[in-house]
This record gives sequence, structure tokens and C-alpha cells, in this order.
Amino acid sequence: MKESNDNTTNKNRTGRQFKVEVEGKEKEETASKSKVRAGKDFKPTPTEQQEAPPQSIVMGEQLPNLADYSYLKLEAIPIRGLKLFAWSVCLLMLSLVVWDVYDTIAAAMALHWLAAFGFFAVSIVVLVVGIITVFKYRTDRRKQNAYKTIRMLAHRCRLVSSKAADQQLIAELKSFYAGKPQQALLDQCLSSLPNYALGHEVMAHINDVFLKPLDAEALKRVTRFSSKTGITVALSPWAAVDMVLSLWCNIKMIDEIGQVYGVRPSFTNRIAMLKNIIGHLAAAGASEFAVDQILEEVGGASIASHFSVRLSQGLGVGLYSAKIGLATMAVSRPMEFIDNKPNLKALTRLLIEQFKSQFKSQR
Amino acid sequence: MIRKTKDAINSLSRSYLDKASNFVSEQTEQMSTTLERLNDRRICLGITGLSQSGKSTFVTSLIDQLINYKTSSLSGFSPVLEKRLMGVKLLPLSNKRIANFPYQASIAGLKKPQPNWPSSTTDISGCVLELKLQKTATPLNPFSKENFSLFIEIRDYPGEWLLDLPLRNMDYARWCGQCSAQFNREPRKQILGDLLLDLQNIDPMDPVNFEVLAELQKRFVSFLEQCKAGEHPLSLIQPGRFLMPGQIEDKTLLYFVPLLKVGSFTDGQLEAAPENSYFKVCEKRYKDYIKQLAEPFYKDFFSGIDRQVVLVDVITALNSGPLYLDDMRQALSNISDSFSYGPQNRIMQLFTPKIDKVVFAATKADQVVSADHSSLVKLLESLVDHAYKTAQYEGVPPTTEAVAGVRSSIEVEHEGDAALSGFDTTGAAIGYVHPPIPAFIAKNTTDQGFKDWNIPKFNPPILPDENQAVPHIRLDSVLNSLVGDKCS
Repeated sequence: MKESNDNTTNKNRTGRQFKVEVEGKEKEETASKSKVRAGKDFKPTPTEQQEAPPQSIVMGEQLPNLADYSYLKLEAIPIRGLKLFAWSVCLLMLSLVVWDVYDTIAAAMALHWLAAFGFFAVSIVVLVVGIITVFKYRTDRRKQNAYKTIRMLAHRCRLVSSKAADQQLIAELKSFYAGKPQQALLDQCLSSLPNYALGHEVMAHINDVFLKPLDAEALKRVTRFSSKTGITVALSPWAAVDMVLSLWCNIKMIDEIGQVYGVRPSFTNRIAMLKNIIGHLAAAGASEFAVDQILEEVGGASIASHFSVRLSQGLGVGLYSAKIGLATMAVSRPMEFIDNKPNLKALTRLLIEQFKSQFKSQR
Repeated sequence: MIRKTKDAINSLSRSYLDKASNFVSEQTEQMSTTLERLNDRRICLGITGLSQSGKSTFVTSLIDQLINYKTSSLSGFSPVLEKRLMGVKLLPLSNKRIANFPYQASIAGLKKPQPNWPSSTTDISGCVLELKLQKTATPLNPFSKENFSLFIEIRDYPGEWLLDLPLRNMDYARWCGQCSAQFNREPRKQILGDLLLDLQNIDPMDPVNFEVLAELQKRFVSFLEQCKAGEHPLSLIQPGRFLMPGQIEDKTLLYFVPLLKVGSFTDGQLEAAPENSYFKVCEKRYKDYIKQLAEPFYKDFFSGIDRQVVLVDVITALNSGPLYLDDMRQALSNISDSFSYGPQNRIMQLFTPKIDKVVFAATKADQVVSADHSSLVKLLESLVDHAYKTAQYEGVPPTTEAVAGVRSSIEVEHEGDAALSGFDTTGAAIGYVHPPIPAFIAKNTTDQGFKDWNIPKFNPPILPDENQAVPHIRLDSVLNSLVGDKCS
């Protein structure tokens, strides 16, 4: 490509697009496109023939003596005895506590038996409360694991046509939703499940009859919360408050979406869901992150003319909220989406419409 | 008379003493095995693979690499890299009922002047590898040079039997339903031909005609054989013993067929079927088949596995087309439900064994140019998706690798393309360029690159020296993933 030094041509220059041509590049691209390997047999020439037996290809090689470190990773080697050490420390602490409690009771007894009894009673209450808390925590964890099991079984049912697998999935679903408001809908769905249904047919039925109404409700809540977050941020005069407001709204939204799918709002569940959501967002394709592109598709160029900077910021926060909402739906749904997976694009339109109507009415 | 009585008493007491001595030696051996397991010095390796996945070649090569560890290339196996492997011995299994793995015959076939591949496995066999290892010196005792033995139990079996494992959790009526769904789809529908109609026409409630049943069973076995031996072999072929019966005393166990009309009856109607009906007779034989063949096979072979390697012949399935890949995916998903994964402590491992390490390996990687090995591994991951996720969920992160028990080809450049060159079964030099290996198969794909062209089969390479280990692809990596941690 030649660079022009002629200043006279600069006088009446107008903006225009042009294509930069790099010599030979186009030809190369065409050649590589047409050069997709096709299967063919051939008779090796003497130079292509095996003269000696092939050499082994070992770990870390692509070919003999040609290093390939793409595999490179180091396995974590567990420190042997660490668990035993932790248990021993726990046992030691426990015996010290028991010893101290005993000592204190003995000392209180020397003072007055009522003091000893009072201390003993308090110790027992602390112990019982502790046991109950641990038990509840474990039950909660077990329930969260049951939820994971349902997702695993659902995945298996999609791959394998086996009545046993279907029944296991149904049993797990029943046990998970027992005593929850979703139970009636699930029972209704299972009673209309045809006898002959197998594997993916069972999945499709549960998806259509049981989960789609839940999806619709979850989506409604995502829209509500994301627009609420966006509008709050847009109206808030203090930038520092925006972050706290959006965080609070998002946590509330995660809780509510989880509840739609049957995940009880508890500390452990919330932590587990947040972990999953972060994982989901990190694993989401780049296209999902291209908010600018989506904005462009729905007429982003005119957004600036429609909204002020503050409103655009609110819309941006609302969109990110919606994205978190969709991720929450994906991780808290008992099965992966089979079809009609809700996407950000559809929600964006809805959100912009809500923004427009909200601020038109305010004007 | 007295002499005769004395002789009788002598022989009787001798037989009792022999029995007692056998019992004691068996128990002693059992106890020492248990102690070795408790001490983390004995592991049972489950070599899992469908028929034609290359199990026997893999096992033969694995043994050969370890026995000839001084000349073989095992740089990825930590004890060899750290020069702590002092020697390897091949021993028979302590279970005398199981035949020895035919290592000598297989390796002799691979190393003779006109080499051939190990023949397909027709019955169960096994062996134990004793690895003499030097302990890693610790900062607490830097002078320690103590040696110890690690015993690795390996068992081989016909891959066909593996597909009997999912039948353990399926009753006869369900199996019939599954068959009906499969048989009405291609490619099975075409292979079945008239047999499909004949199986559909049998009323499960009709009194059984044993001659007709025997005839149908014969045709059903021939159908299964065609599924396996066709140009493009299928994977999900059940029941496995119909193809490879092994040593069965009661052959009537094999005389049943799937009744495709069973789906049109309710469970109650089937329950009330007459005892001499097709349904009841076939159901009884199916139950006996599970009880006497499938269950013992699982108990003897798979219930005690500590570590597992799953061998998958991805290339042959890819060469057959998306339908066959799907069939393989389904077969592998079905099998994976029979294994329990998860970390387990040594004491519990004695009572409820769990697999705490698993390697998924795409075999016959020497049929593919090395640049495509990573795509081959990705394709394998998509095929074993269910088993992979199950293991991961249970806290056992799996390893995936592209391997070859025997590397039979070299990589050359032919007309600007990466190609493979080797020898065919007649010893003539052959070479080929293959289409790129896709990292995944899209649904409803129209890609015919592999379907319209069959990958030619290579013969094993000719080795000039019998003491030289057969060349391989990344067996060291598999070995290290499976037992590397137990060698320190």
C-alpha cells in the first residue's frame, strides 16, 4: 500500500470508507479456504515409507521430539495426614472445653449448687443449639445436593432412553418439591405423562407442562427487578448509592427466582447459587456480554437522543441485572433449557419499552 | 477288608486335609491381598471398553512397556522419570478360576517378523503386575532407600459383555420397549429386515412355541452379529452374551428374544399372562440371564475397581457417521451408570469400593495425524459427556487423552498435507490423508467427509528387536494418571 504525499488533494476531502488491500493476503485466504483436507489413500513414495519402526509419542509431545505443552498442568498432591491432624486438633479442643466446663462447674459448686446448676444448664442449651444448627446446616446442604442430583438425572434422561432413569428422575423431583407450592403443578404434570414416554419425551413433557409456567413467572420477576434496578439507578441523585441499591435488588431477585424453581432462600443456598451464577456468567459466550451490540440492534444510536446520560446508565445497570437474572434462571432451573431459552435480546426490548413508558409518563 | 477300610480312611482324610490346606492358603492369600489394599499397595484397574475398542492391545502394550521399562518410552510416568522403578514382574491373579491374560501369545504376535494384532477376547482373563519401587526420600529421613511393591490387578473380558451391565437395572418389559424404539429407527431397521415384522407379530400372551422361539433367537443372534460385523459396527448391542457366550453350562439362558408388542399391554396384563406364554417364558429366561451371567460378571469384575480407564474407539464411530456416534454415546452413557465414582478412605474402600480416578482415552490415535489429537480428545469428551459429568459431580475430575497401545504409523507430508504412512495386513506400504477431525458433531450435520471414505487399517509395525518395547502414544500419561500417586 502506497502512502500519498500530495497535499493538494487534501483541500476538498470528505469522509468515506475504503478497503485496505494487502497484497497477497486475499489470495492466501482463498487458498486456505479451498484447502480443506479430503480423505484419500495413496501409495507412499520411498521417502514417505516407514523404514524403521515408529517412535513412541510420550506425554508432552505432539510428535516424537516435538514438544507440546498444551496439556501442561500440575495435579494437586494432598498432604497426607492433614485430615487426621485436623480431627486430632478438634478432639483436643473439645476435651479442653469439656475439661474447662467441668472445672468451672466444680468451682461454681464450691460457691453454691445453684450457680453450678445455672452454668450447667447454660452449657447444655449452648450444646443443644449448636447440634441443632449443625443438623439444619447439613439438611440444607443435603437438599442443595438433591437439587444437583436432579440436574444430573435430567441430563442423563436426555441422553439415554431408560425407564429406570426416568423413574429415578421423577422420584427425585417429587421428593424435592414435596411440601412446596410447586408440588400441585408437578403432580398435575406427572399425572398427564403418557405411559409410553421415554427419556427425552419425559423431559419434553416435564419441560412443557411443569417448567414453562415457572419459566414465565421467573422471567416476569427478572423483568420486574431489572427495570426496578435500572429506574432506581437512573433516578438516584447519588452515584455512591447506586451500587448498594443495585446489589440489594440483585440479591432480592436471585432469592425470588430461586424460590420460583423451588430453592428455599437460605444462607447456604444463596452462597451456592451465587457461586453457580458467577460460574455461569464466566462460562457464558462472548455474545451474551456484547451489550453494546444488542443496544445497537434495538436502535442504540437513537438511545442517546431518547435518554439522558443518567438514564442510559440506569438502562445499562438494568441490562446487567437482567443478565444476572437469566443466569440465575439457568442455574436454579431443575433441568437445562431444552428450547426457547430466554435471551437478553428479548428482555432488552422489553426493558427499553418500560423505560420509555416510565419516563414519558413522568414528563 | 481292614486294609481296604484303612485305605478308604486314608484317602478320605487326605482329601479333607487337601481341602483344608487349600482353604487355609486361599484365606491367607485373601488376607494378604486385603492387607495390601489397606496399606495402599494394591489397586484394581478397571479397563473398560466396548467391543473392538482395543482393550487387549492396550493391556498387552501396557504390560510390555512396564516389563521393558528400561528400553520403553515412559518419560511421563513419574517412577520411571525419577528412576525409582526397580523392576516389574507379571503374576497370575490370586483368583484361580480366572485364566491368565494371554500376554505371551499377544506380544509374540506383535513382535514376530510378520506382526499381527492380538486376537479378540472371547473369555475372561487377568493378571497382576508387581512394580518394585524405591520410596521417595523424605526430609525426615533422607537416607531412606526402602523398596516396596505395588500390585496392579488387570482384568480383560469380551467388550460385548459390558453392555449387559445396564440390563441389571432394567426389567424384561422395559428392555422390550427399548428394543422396540431402537428397532424402528435406522440403521437397525434396515439390518433387521423381515425379522422386525416377525418380532412385531408375536403376541406376548400366546402360548409359546419353542421351535418358533429357537428359530427367532437364531435370527436375532444373526442380526446382532450383523450389527457388530457390518461395515460400520454399532455399539449398543444387547444382550452381549448372545454374541460372545463364554463358558455357559445352561445354554437355555440365551433362548429369549425381545417381544416388540409388549408395549401395548399394561403392567397388570403382563403380570397376569399365562405361565406358558411367550412373555412369561422369555421374561424368566431374561431374569435368569441377568442373575446367572450379568450379575456375577459385574460382581467379579467391576464392583471392586479402584481406578478406571475407559477406552473409546472414536475414530471408527466417526468414520461410520453421526447415527453411529450417537449409538456409541448412548451405549457409553448406559454403561457409566453401573460404576460408582467418588473419593473414599481405605477402610471403606474394602467394603464399598468407589472409583477415585478415571481416565477417558480415545484409542487408536495413530490413525490420526498428531495435529488433530486435541480435536479427537474434545470429540471424546462430548461422547462421554454423561460419564464425565457424573464423575466430576462425585468429586473425581476425569482425565482425557488420545492414546494408542501400539503406534503403527509415521507422519509424513504428502502433496502439502499431513499424512500417515504404514503397512497394511499384507505387508504392503500404504498411506492416507484424512479429513480434519471435528472437535464436536453438530446436530443434523451434513458433513460427509468421513462417511464417504473409510480409514484404511494399519498392521502393527515390524520391530527389529524382541526386547524393544512396542511404540505407543501417551500410555505413560495414562499410567501416570492412574497409578502415579500410588508410586511414591
